[in-house]
Amino acid sequence: MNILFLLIPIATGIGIAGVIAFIYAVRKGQFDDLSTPAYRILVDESERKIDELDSK
Amino acid sequence: MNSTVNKYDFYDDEIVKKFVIATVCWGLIAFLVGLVVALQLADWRFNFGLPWITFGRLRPLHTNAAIFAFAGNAIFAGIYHSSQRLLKARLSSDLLSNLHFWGWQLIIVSAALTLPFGYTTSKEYAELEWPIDIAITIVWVIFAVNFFLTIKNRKEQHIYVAIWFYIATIITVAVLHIVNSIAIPVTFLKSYPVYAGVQDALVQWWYGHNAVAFVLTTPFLGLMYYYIPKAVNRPVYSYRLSIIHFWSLVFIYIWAGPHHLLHTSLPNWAQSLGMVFSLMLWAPSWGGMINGLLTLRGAWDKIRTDPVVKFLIAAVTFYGMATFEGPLLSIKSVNSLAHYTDWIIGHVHAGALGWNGFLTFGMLYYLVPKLWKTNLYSVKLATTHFWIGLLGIILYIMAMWASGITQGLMWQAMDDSGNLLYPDFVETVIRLVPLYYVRFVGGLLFLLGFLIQIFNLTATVLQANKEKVKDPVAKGSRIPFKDVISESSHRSLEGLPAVFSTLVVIAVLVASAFSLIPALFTPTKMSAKSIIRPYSPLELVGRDVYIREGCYLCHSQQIRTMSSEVLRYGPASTMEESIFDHPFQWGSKRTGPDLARIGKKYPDLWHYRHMMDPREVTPKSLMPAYAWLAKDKISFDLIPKKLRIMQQLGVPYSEYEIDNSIETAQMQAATIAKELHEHGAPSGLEKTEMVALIAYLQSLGQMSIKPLEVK
Amino acid sequence: MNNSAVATQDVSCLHCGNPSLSGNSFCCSGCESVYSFLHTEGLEHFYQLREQFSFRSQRKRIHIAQNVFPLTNELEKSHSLQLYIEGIHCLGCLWLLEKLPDFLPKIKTASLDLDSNILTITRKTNEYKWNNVIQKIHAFGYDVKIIENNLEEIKASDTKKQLARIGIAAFSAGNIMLLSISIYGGADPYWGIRFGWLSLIFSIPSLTYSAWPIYKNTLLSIKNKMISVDSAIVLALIAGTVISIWSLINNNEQHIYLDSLSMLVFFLLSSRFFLQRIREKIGKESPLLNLLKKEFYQVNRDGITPLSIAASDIAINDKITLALNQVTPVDSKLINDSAYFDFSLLTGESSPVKLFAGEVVESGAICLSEDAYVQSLSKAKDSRFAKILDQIRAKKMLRTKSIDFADRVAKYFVFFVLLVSASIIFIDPTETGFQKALALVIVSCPCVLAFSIPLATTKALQLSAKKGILLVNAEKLDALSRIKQIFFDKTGTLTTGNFEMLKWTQLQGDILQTQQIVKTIEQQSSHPIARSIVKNLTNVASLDNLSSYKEIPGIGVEGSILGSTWRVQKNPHVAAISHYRDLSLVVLQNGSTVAEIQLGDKVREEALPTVSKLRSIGYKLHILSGDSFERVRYVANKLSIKNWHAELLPEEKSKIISTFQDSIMIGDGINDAIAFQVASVGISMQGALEESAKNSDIIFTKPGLNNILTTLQIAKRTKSIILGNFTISLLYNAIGSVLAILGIISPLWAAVLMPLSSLSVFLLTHIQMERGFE
Repeated sequence: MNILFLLIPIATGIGIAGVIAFIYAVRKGQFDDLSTPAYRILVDESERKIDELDSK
Repeated sequence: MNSTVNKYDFYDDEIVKKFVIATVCWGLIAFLVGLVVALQLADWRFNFGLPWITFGRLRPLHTNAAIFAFAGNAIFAGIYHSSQRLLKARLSSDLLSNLHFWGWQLIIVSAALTLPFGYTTSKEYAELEWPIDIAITIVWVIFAVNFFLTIKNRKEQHIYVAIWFYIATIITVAVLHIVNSIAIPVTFLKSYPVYAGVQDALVQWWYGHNAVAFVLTTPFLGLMYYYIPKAVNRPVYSYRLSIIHFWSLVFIYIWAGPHHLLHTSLPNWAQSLGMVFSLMLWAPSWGGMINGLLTLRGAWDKIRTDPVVKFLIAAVTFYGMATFEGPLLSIKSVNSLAHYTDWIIGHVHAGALGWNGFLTFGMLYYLVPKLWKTNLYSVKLATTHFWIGLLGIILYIMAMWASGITQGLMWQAMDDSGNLLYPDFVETVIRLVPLYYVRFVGGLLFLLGFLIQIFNLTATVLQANKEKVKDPVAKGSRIPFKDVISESSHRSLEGLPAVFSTLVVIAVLVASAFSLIPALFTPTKMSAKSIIRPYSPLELVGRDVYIREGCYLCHSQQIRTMSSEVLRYGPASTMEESIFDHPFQWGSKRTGPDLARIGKKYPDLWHYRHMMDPREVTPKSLMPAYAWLAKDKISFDLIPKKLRIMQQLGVPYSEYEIDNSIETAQMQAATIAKELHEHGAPSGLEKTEMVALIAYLQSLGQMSIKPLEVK
Repeated sequence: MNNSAVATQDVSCLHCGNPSLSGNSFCCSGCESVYSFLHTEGLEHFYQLREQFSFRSQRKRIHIAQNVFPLTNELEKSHSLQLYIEGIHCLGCLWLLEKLPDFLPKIKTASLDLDSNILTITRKTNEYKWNNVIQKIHAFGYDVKIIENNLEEIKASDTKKQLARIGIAAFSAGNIMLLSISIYGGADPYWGIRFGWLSLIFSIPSLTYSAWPIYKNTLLSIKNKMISVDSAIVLALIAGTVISIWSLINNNEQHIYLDSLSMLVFFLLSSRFFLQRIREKIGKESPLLNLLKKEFYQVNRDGITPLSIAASDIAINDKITLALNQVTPVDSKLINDSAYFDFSLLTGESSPVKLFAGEVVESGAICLSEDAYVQSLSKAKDSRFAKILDQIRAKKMLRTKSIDFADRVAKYFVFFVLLVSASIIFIDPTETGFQKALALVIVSCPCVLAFSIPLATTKALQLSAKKGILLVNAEKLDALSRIKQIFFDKTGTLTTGNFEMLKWTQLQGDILQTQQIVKTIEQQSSHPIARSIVKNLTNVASLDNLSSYKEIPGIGVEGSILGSTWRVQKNPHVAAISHYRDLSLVVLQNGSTVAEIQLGDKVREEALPTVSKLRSIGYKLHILSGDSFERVRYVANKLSIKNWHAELLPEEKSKIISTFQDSIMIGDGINDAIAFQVASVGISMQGALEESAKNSDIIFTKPGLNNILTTLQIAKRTKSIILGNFTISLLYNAIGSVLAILGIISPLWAAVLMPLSSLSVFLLTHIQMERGFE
């Protein structure tokens, strides 16, 4: 059962990465406004015609 | 429009179109293979005696095609389409997007070429051999770099919850895939995993559950959080709830896995940990479902009129059902009835067809008209597809529930004097055949519905309006990273550590895995030598044949600690018995009986006749015939290399044994062939794989040197 | 007479969708300008998005042209600006407001928070004046209010710290729980010990960083020598960790309490965070409170350029021009020869006072005549009126008596618990002895006691805010539940307050034209009678060729249109004492009466049922009004209220109220502001003037007298819930402590029971409060 010496560190490693990401997100103000994003995704620009698109 | 249009002013929908087309094609193939495989279970004649399309080799093709080709491409299509609009930025590099697309299709083709020819690692949902594993890692890193660069250059300050789900998917799948695919190559398309026995079981099912979690749930939850609000034009029910249920998932998710090994030789406390953890998973999963369903408050009538909403809402309901059934199945007492039965297949397909399938179909009906700037060809056809598909899923699940519970009850049925009511395993099997046909009809209806969709979507694409119309990138409230460099240098450095740290984490993981793992196991293996002997060279070759033909897909090698199993198969398996098994062959389904203690139960000739034509020995058996084993030759020259690698992995082979491995194998093969010939089998079998397989089967359960004390 | 001109065919306005009359495609010129503005800027996508999803109903907006938006100089310099936007109703608004940087190149970013309707904009350079962007938003058809000091930052960074702490506590609690399940599930000692050490490693961040606020509170309370609620918890945390480490060292993994401790920290932090968010949300819901309207004054320092600056920025001997009905911001002296002022706010005496050049105009006096010029004698903040306002506002901040009572009980309880647990350890210093003590401390953590009462008041505040009743001062909730006397102001409270036009008798000339002229003239004045006339003539279009306008205080208004002078004034013939004294008006064209208008002050329909219900409950009702005897008697008979007083000056009103105990004064006029202070609870009706609303304890933001019934009901319900919560928490703590002392429940169960009890109290309060109000 000493596979746990590999599995648990990885499992908690990802958990800790999760916590670090959470704190980074909190610091960056990702959770300041938790109601407008739900509306913001519904807003899209109207599509625009392009006669010739030399985007290459 | 000025002539030189800056491509970064428009979203890249070309790559999305490619992934959509790939999803549809591979979906068709995955469902077709699924149907063939279902037929083969119902009637053995549909194997046609050909090695390349026998059930053992087609089933991994079905699972890999469904998960990584169909659902994989669907996820990429959805992620590429939604994240550009959520981040208000075009994908940072077209080159990486295309590399990712063509790389992924190449991997799928290579899987389609290797699996039918038996090149498999036998680790479920990770069957692909080591070169393809490396290719998957490379393509996944390309995808990750492209995705994270786009996040860095986003113009919308707030990272929507769907993007968080995609990030979790990318990071975790990378770790899972790397850890589970660590193996030492034997030849170009053959390798032995580093883990063995119960260790391999734990790593495999830690990967197995989390592959389902992070390939078939978190990305699809991300898609749900984008496509349901867009399809219904309503904000999600409670954005706060989605944040809570995401973070609670990430903090403690990665402990999953042991609930696949309940009542096995896994220590009891690990089993109860797995059970409690799975029960805990019920809350965040249903948080997601409630959020998805209640988004329709005030717009429920849209289900009546809009097929896209029909599919998406049905998908979320199936997600709710499957994530309720999962924790239920991981309760020990329920699991003792359901493990190894078809009930698990019912649970899998409730999730796969209902949640992943229907969500992808709904997304396709939403995406294709939007991508090709036209309306859906026919709404009525889409609605018929919905009802046919729904009927198909219900038939499928009902059939599997019925057959699963029949198996569970009949295996355990005992009369009052304590002996088994149905001692002969095949008595249960014959009861299931009609249900397998019902399952086949269900699968057929599901495919039929999908064909209607293919027709509908193709017609939609054909009527697409010709002139170029594109979606412009919206203006967001954040200054994208690349404009920031010009403004102030410190902000530019801020982005680098994020990329740098993720690369370091992956590098550290891979390095530590390679160095740490072998060291972990060798000492315990040496001490185990006193209890268990390693496989003889011929038995090892026979084991590779067992793996190649995918016998583990219908036969398990793990007798559970329940009285009915001990009565039927003998003493419960212990951890030590499979300590040298690289990879472990415990299996996850019993269409056929458990083979953990089959050794010396039947004479060699019985096995020979059983392989040539199973009906000859057990009249109503569903097993396909493996006649080609009597013709294919053993490649003796590979044996020393195989033993050498096993030795590196801690299996106690002495130098002497390795040097004379070929002679010992040939001697053992000759004795078996001679004895077979005396009892009426044709001569000349000593070089064939038949003899090796028989040697391996006869060794199962006969490996212990001193009597085992059973739990 | 209110048959409006029949609308030709029902066409809805292209911009706001309201019915547009007179056949053209817009309902008013304002909508037309916004519509054309959007099209010229190429923003038609707005209408497509509006069809897609409108999440609020669009109320009819009266477009008042305004292009000067005065800002305090400190805001002028700041890099970012916060605007409160009224009129957001659809996705189009969100898209439009966040697209500002797109067509205003000088604006860097614009992000809108739909919850609080606050738009935060930042600009690239300070030269770019905020005024242009506010003007642009105003041109889109939104009302814009500038938010004062954005105290959001300080609060935001504090919430971020709390969130980070809760995140870490959740992570460690979750993972330790999994490890302890393995230990409880019977892991063999080899793994049990390793899991023990791993859970110690996990618990360190939670017990140190996350639990820091708890330690800080305890240190604070120790500094001023009293035991706070948190001290019991801190003791449990420290003792629990020490014992766990001790049992880890001698390899006995059965006695590790890190799982209960980390769960305790997580539940405590998240329940406190949750409660604080509810209180914050209530504060946000009452726009009146956080948006004290900023009065701007026309001032010119150097005599040439007139500036528009805030009251707080007025310097000494600035020359201020006071518009009609504007409050004098600072103590100052009158410059032009004479002007009328209303001192009711200060003296309560409401009749207009005439002042002459050079006399002192105290701050708080309301200017009743056309542009009076005054010179400031002092800074705004040390003017007498500002002091009164601060003094009133200060009184509101004190905590309710019941919360103090609960805190005191909690303190004694904690002291008692510590005593008992110390004695348990003393008697039985073994493992089990300590386990009982730890369980006792955790289960009897008095946070249920301390938090159940503020919870009930918070719930009451939240529920009443939802019902449109703003409990400005939670202190008054107790007082409300002990009320016996209710004093009503007549005009505006028992009656609708604005005069209904009962009869319009046209003597000569065309009726429609006269009405248009009357409306045009009356529109200029903000006198209540003028306002109600304009309100009654909504369907009549006003003319715009008014050449002159004059207001004669106390008599009426006069203006000249189409060559003749029109005057609307009190009807001289009607006898002074008769019932209709100042309610019958005459319209004179060049001196000869053209029409007579009969106004009436209608009693509110819901007044009778509300009054009879209040009387049946047992309250004693009184009417106190400044109005004439006849009219007060008329209303009193109608509502069969026996004790009433009429023609009262504000001082007399407060004198009468002060003779009674436990009284409510409910009114809307300025003269009630002083009465609010004297009564134990002051309630201002919906639509009350800003000044009186700011002094009342409860503000009705929804019209109707029946709000008082709901308020009294909420107060009674809250009192019974507080008593209920109190008994439950006492009961819970008692039973919990007994179980802990007997050793029946382990620290883990205690840690589970503690949040369960808080949750049960919370749910109970929630259900009880909501029941019967849906």
